[in-house]
Amino acid sequence: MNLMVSYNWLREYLPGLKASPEEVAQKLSLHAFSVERWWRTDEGLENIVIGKIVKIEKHPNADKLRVVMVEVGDVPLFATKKGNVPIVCGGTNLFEGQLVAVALPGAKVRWHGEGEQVEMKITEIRGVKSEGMICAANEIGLEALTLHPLPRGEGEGGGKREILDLTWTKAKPGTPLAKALGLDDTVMEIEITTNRPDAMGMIGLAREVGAILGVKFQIPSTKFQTNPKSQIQKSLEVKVEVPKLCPRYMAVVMEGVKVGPSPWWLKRRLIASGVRPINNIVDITNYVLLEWGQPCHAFDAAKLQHTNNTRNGDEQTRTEIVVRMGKKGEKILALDGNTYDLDENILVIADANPSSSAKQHYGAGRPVAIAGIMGGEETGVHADTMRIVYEIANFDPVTVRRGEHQLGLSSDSSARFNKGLPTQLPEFAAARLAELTKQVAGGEVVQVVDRKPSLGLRPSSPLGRGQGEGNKVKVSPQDISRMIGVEIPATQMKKYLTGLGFKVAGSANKWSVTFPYWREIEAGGLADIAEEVARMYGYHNLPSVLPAGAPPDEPPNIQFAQERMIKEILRGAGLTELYTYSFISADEILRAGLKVENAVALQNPLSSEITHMRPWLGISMLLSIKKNEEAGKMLKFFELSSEYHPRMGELPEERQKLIVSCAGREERDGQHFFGLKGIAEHLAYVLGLSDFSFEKIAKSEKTPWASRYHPGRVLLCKAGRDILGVVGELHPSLLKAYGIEQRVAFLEWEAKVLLPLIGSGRVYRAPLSYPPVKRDIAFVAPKTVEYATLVAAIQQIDPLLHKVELFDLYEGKGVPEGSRSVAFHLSYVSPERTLTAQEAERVHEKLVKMLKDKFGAKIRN
Amino acid sequence: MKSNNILQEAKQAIEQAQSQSVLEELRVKYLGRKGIVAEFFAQLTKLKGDERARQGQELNALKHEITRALEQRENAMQTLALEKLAEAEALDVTLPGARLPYGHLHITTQAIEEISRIFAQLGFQRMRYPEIDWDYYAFESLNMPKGHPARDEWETFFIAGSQQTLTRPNGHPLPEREGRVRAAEHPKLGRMVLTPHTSNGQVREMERRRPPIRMINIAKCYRRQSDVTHAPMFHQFEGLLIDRNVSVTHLKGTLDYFARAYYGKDRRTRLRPFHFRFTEPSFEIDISCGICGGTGEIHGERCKVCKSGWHELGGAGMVHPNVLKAGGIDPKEYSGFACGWGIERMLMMKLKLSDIRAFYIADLNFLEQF
Repeated sequence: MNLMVSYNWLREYLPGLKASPEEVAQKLSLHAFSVERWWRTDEGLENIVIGKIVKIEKHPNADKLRVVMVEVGDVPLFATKKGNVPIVCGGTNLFEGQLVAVALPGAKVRWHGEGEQVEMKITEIRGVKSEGMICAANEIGLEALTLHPLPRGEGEGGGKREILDLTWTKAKPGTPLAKALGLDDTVMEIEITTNRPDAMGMIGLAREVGAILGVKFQIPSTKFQTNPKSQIQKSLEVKVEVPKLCPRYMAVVMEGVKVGPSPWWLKRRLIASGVRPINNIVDITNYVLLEWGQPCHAFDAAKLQHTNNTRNGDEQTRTEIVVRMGKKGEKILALDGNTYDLDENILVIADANPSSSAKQHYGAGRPVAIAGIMGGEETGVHADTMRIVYEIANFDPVTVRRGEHQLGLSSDSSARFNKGLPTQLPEFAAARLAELTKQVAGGEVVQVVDRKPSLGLRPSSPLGRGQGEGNKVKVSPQDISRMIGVEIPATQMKKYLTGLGFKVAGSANKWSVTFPYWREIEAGGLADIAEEVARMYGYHNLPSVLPAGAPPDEPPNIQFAQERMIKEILRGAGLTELYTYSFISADEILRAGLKVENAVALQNPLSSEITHMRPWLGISMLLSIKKNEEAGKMLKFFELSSEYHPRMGELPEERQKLIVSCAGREERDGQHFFGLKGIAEHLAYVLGLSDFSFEKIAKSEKTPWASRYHPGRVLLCKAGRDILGVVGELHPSLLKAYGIEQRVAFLEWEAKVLLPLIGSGRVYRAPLSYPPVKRDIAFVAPKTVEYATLVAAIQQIDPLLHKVELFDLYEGKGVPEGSRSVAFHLSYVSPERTLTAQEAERVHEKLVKMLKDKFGAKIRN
Repeated sequence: MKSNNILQEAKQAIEQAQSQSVLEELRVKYLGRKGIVAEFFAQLTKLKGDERARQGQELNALKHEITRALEQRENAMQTLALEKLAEAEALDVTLPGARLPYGHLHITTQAIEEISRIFAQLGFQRMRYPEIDWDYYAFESLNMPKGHPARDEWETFFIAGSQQTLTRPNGHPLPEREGRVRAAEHPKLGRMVLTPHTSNGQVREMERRRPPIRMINIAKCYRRQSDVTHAPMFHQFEGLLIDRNVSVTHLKGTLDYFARAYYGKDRRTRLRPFHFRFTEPSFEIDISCGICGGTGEIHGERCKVCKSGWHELGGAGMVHPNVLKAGGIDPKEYSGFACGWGIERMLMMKLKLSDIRAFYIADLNFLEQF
């Protein structure tokens, strides 16, 4: 959670603080919480001072302007003027003796609150010298002073076009405006980690800063002041129906408050913290939230439904607050102006049902607040509120968080409750609420209710050292040092810990460390204590040491190197690697002709596009091809990623697959297919797969790829007996389903089969000792004779035939229809002797005869 | 004897020859099988005794002289030709090369490779664990108790238990509300999740082998989020070291080594306090800015790149004792550290990319840059 923190406010709890805001920010970042940025609140207010209007005269040359003499004090620039400067001004609400904001030369202003900022200069306006400007709020970025009206006596006449009246500040003329308004401050934005809700308020944060910088930390003491003379009977009852989800509920009833705008000092702090001022009562609840980190809420007591009972003949009015689960069908109009549907998962605050009798009313009233998240509009504080009920409670963090998500609603309160707050906090916050209310809005406390239905702990002193069980840790300073890696003297450690509120007891090497109540949620063991010591010492102060000790004695996992090799080979062959999302939509699975129920489904899909884990990597590949189809390029992609297949009672199988694809407009038929077949051969050769071969797939075969691939343009890829996968063109109907117009070919291999075979075919033979005799042969044969058949027949002709290599394939002009011309390089060699030309010739003649007899080949010359 | 005249004549002709072919003709004329010299040799058979021997010698000398003259002339011609080579055989060398097709490895692959290589030098072995795993490995054993936000359904993807209920009889998926199903569940290990981090490898590795452990795991992770800086699928890197007497200083040493190897020898890291459930203490790792060198200032002005001297890199911490215990390792005997970060975020920082989704939408123009 990010907190905006005023440096001046922080300093209120650290009177001895000397460090600059920058220093505080830096130290906080290194020792506790990351300060993400900071800025001065008086930025843009340079050279603007408080001026006192001494004299107002008419402008000689303009009816709507006045010439005003303003006392601006001892501004060095104006020393010769005895502190008085003439200013031409058009404001209508000026009076002598009024304090105003004067922009002196060099100040940056925005004329009439519009356009770019301009720098003030001494000018002449219609022939009269003007040495400054009397400003309206929006001309110097102080709209806050007028947008949220101030109480009577503070800044009346804050109209948009009117001069900002600052008489209420009672500042001396010449005082920098920022100082007069308390804006000479720095605000830091601090990221408080989720484990530290105790620091999500000024007091907790000040405690932390005090410990880091060694500055004494103090909380202004507050006490409840109830009016004993108050005659009003105790009329509020609090019932907690779900004690586990509401360990504490305090209610403070105050009578005779006057709702109105908050004073500037209060507003200023809310604004600096990023909170919008509303009215004094709401502002006070926010102020206490910001100060103590304890969320509070104010109800208008008159708007809570109540029951009327007759007891001993007297009519008694009783207001009730019930903490219970919501009900299906219940709704609440929240303070944000939206209506929310509640149900039995949402913890609510309800009031009484006025029509029911005392014995059966529980749970019957209407919800008046979503517990820990937001109050209801109908029972909120308004201008005419006189009697208020403050709620200072503690709610279960998980319930609050789930409620936030279910309703899509969160607030500064829920952001704290969902971290888990100490149950001791409410009493401090309650006292502070009462005190501030009295100070700002008047009124008396007439009743305090404190329900602790499930609270085992009793808070102690106001500084609140927790007394509960289970918050003690036994550690030794030696263990702490060992964990950190440097020797830190025990006395130093103790100092760090006590500074943070921990209690250290026990002997020299057997400590018992007690967590303070505000850190109890973290109480654990040695590591927690070591963490506190180490961060106070400063992680940045620790030396950097490479780990000693032997690395694990284990042969490396070669799978990753193999994957890398495959990827490098494909990259070298001009292919582009893809990474695609592992999940797809159910629609895509259907489109690929697969069964949705055979895919791993997400229980909580993110959208209709992300519902299943892909059962076939090819779907991702087809989508990628479709996406890039319009580029009009040859698309040569590959991806080595997982497919996911469900298994009964086990984790799904994550089957790694390699798909290489070729798509785009072909220059000749079969280009993609043969391109990929070549890639298959290249992979097999470079990866050294033993006995790599292709095999035609029988049409009747029911393999998983039968329906995906073009029945006349697909081959099985094998290494020995192992089936690696296929290379082939995709079935036209599959492509049609994806709206892909051009032909697409895939090479689809199983990594599980491929990886173990890498290198299996690398057998090294001695170099040939005898020179080969080389011959070429070219012949015309019917096209029905497949290449593979020809090669097989040629290779069987004689053991002396060592190598057969296709070098030309031609059909067309000069070759009869239905035939093609085929040409091979042949190489004859004997392992025992140098072959003579005649010996080679004999084999060659045998070959020619066989080709003629078997295939009707016509030899070409 | 005419041999002198022949020699004179031959030499003259050779001297005047202007091309290889003329020289070749002359060679054939004088030294060929049916050439002048051969004819003289043929006539030797008619002579006898000393005269035959004398003339034989003379002819051999003649043959030798002519051969030498031919060689000399040939050499001279070659030298001349070489001098004119640049003009005679000029190619337009500015034409493009016959290049091989360009292929591209995905930037994520390249980053994974580089990180693996650096950590391998410190003895860390890359491992792979399930992307779909049990709650126990993803949360419970990592000290994230029930009710922890990460275990909520809006943060993490869970795997549906009964597939059938998700679809209508015709195979079409049910609308989300109607199709609500329970997550697949193991009686002991809990629900089946799409791992939201790579840390599920921690306890799995501890179960696989005893310390010393030096493991890295780089894998796909999944979270229910999708915006400019968050993708529902991304990659995380995670390093784990468990041994006797491992302290925070060793984590610092390892991270500094990585920073120098990956970013450059002047770079270093800084640890700041943070909070994670499965480590205690926990840190955020910063890396010093490469522009201002970690000072946050350039010539007295605030560095525009980092604004503070440091960039946030990732998270780290000392393995929580409860996690060690879950892995069957005695925290009194062993300690360890874990560190990790998002690969994409690291790359986005390096490449100045603003939208993480660019990595996985298979856009050729994007991919062809790498």
